[in-house]
Amino acid sequence: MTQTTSSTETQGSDHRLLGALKRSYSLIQALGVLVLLIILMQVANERFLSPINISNLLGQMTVMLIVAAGMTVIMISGEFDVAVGAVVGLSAAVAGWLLVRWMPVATAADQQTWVILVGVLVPLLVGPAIGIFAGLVVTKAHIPSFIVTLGTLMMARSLTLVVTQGQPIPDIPEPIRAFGQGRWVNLPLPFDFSGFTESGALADLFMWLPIQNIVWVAVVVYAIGWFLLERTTFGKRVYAVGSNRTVAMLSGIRADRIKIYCFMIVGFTASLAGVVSVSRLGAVSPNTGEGLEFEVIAAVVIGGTSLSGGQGRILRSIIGVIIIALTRNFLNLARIEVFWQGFATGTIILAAVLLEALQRRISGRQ
Amino acid sequence: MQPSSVLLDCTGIVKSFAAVRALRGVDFAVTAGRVRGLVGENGAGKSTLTKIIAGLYPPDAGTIRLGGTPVRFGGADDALDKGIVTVHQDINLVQTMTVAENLFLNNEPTRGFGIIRRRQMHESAERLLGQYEIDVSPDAVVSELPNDLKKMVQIAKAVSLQPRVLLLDEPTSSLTEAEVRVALRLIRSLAESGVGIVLISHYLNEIFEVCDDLTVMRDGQVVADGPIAETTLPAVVSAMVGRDVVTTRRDKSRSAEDDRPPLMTVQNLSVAGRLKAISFSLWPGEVLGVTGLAGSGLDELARAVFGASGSSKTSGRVTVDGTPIPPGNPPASLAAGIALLTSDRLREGILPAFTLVDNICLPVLPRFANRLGVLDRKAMVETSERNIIRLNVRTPGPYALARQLSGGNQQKVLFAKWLETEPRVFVMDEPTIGIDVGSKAEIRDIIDEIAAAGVGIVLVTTELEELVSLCDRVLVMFRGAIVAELTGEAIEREAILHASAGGVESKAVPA
Repeated sequence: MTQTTSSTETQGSDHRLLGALKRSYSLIQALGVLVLLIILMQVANERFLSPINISNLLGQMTVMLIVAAGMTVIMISGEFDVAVGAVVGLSAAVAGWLLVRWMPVATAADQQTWVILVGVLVPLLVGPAIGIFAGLVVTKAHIPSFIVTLGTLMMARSLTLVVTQGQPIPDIPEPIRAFGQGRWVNLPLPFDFSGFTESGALADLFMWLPIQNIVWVAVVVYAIGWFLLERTTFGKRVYAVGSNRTVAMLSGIRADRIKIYCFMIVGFTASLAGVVSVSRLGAVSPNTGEGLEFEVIAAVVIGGTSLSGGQGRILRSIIGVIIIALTRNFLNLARIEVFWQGFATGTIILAAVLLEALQRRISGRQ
Repeated sequence: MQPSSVLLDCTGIVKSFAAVRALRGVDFAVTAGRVRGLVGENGAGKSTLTKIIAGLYPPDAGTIRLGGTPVRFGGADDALDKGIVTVHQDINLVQTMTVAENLFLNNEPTRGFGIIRRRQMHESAERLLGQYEIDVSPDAVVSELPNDLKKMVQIAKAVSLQPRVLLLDEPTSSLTEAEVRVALRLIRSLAESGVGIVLISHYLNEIFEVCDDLTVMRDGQVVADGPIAETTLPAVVSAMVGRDVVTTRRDKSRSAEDDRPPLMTVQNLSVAGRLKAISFSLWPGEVLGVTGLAGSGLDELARAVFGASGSSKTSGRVTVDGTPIPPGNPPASLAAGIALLTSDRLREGILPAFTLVDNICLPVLPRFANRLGVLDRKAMVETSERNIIRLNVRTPGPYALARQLSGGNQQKVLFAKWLETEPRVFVMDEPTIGIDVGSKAEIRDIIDEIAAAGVGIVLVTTELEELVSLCDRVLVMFRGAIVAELTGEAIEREAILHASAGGVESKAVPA
């Protein structure tokens, strides 16, 4: 509402182009940082762009990817959820407990399928349940979501210790481990010239990238998330509520209900990530997901989602996650002490917030 | 539907807020196919009435009939469902979404399961915009549109909901002349299609141009009602103002026409899109009133004169005692002896969690500091107490927190704060807004006293009472420009209303 022009002329096409460039500034910036990082990584270690390393990296960032999808939704609605890491941990713990401690060791083979199904599906309800609770407190008692989810964070962490008794749960059943650790599909990526020049075979022109199965879970999450946000009335309502709650309510949108749904969605993605991490690691550690929340928020912000809600694109969060994961990987490759990791992540979070302020100034929005 | 059927019929509507009776038994009807104007001064009860009709407030007493059956609205969405659509004065669009997304927000065409028919939405938006001659792409992001286009999109959105009753609250206040024409045509054509329309506007010439019926409100009551053909613009103005108002004029002994040079001159002060070539002079001891309708640029004028608007958008020259004041540099303005009392007391004025001492002494802290920067608390308290007595601030003591005080007393604290800077020019933006009647009178006395001490005062206000009783001269603004200057006996309510509502008198009454 601070427009100062009162002209009724249509804006010129060059103006429109400039506008489009300004709007996609955050995307250009994120992609720029990503390319820069990749170059840096490749220089630091020439094996970085090898199929096996890329495949491993993708597997490692899957948990963060899944949670970032839900975090994007809740942040577009104008709220936060800092409990996601703890919910990942609690869901993993519940899955581990159901699969290992609840299921008797000598379960008959025909019953095992059934137990596994319970062990995978029931933990998926943990996040939505916590989400309803947090959403109700935030919307009905008008308490900032940061504080409310700080509360649910501590509760979920504590429950995780109760469920696991503070001990790791090893020996997750084989079918689940087989899925989580398998790479059943190879994806052809074009142009691995070294192989082609050696053999001359057409198949060697491609770099065959083995994709960990869990990565497909993230792909499905982002496909659904994109469709939900960009193509459905629910998505429009999420953007509207996050951008201007009053306008949304005057349009007849039940803003509180939309926010509660968003809390359930982010909770669901955290639970899903918890189950995925169980299947990937084949075990549950009581501190699964610790510190994940801030890395995820940083990733989402780097992807261009506004801290104040109403703006953001879910697919861009993928770029943010990759940037965070690569930074961590870079520290390993560069043989920097592990103690510096928190410092690096903190720097990235601050840089992300500063970049958001810069983006706002460049795109001229309030 | 018969052309003369009554769609909405309110009888005996009463509404109170705490001790204030906003509506005292109002009857109001909207007829299908007709435009009803609703006019009255600020605080007459127009917006309370429309908010009740739009379902935002429940009435304390009285009945609302919709198509003959009594209704009680459960909220804004309930009234919306029943076909009562409101276009609010402030632009109610989601700034980050596109025009098409806004037009169909919460009303998107879907294929079931909430999946949006995007092409259909785009085409419907294009058709709707074309129908009302709104030259904007459905894919344009709202935040990048100029205000007038935003307002047109907002009206188009309301129309797309296919209202039975359409409430328009000051729809033209942010529009340019050309846009006003389009908007008024749109209102007429909607009425012809059978919609019952309520048009709230301060622009009386527009009211006379498009309305079929007119309701005039004053002090929470309907004081005139009937077909517009049976009344005249002067009759409406005097009904709005009322005849029982006794105004005490201040002593006009301080004349602006003496030979002294002006204290402040403003030449061609412009702010892109907001203010157009404002020029005036201010003499010592003069109270210069500046008035106009909401949106006519009053806030901008106050800020620009003080030098608080962005320097890149501002042009023109402000001098105090012949010395030019750089634009966009509040410290320089303060040093030159200009003070600005902002209209938004809570957000831009008082520091609610600070004590009165800290509030009052804030701009003049260096005066109380020794060379090491340590403050002399005792002197600060003495200064504050002197002001508390002088301005009659009702407070438990100088160490009370500002938020413990009533609005009127907070305003007096702000006066104390700026008076401590010993201003030569005091710009006041709505100094009595939102405060009780008693404090209003006291603050008017304070303004009088300050002027008597030789300070030049720019009093920006929409209160007619204040203009008539306090000012030596009054400038009337209309859409960012000064359109009239009234002095002495010419400062009277009717003249001010005429000028504010659309410029010169001859233009105000259409044939």
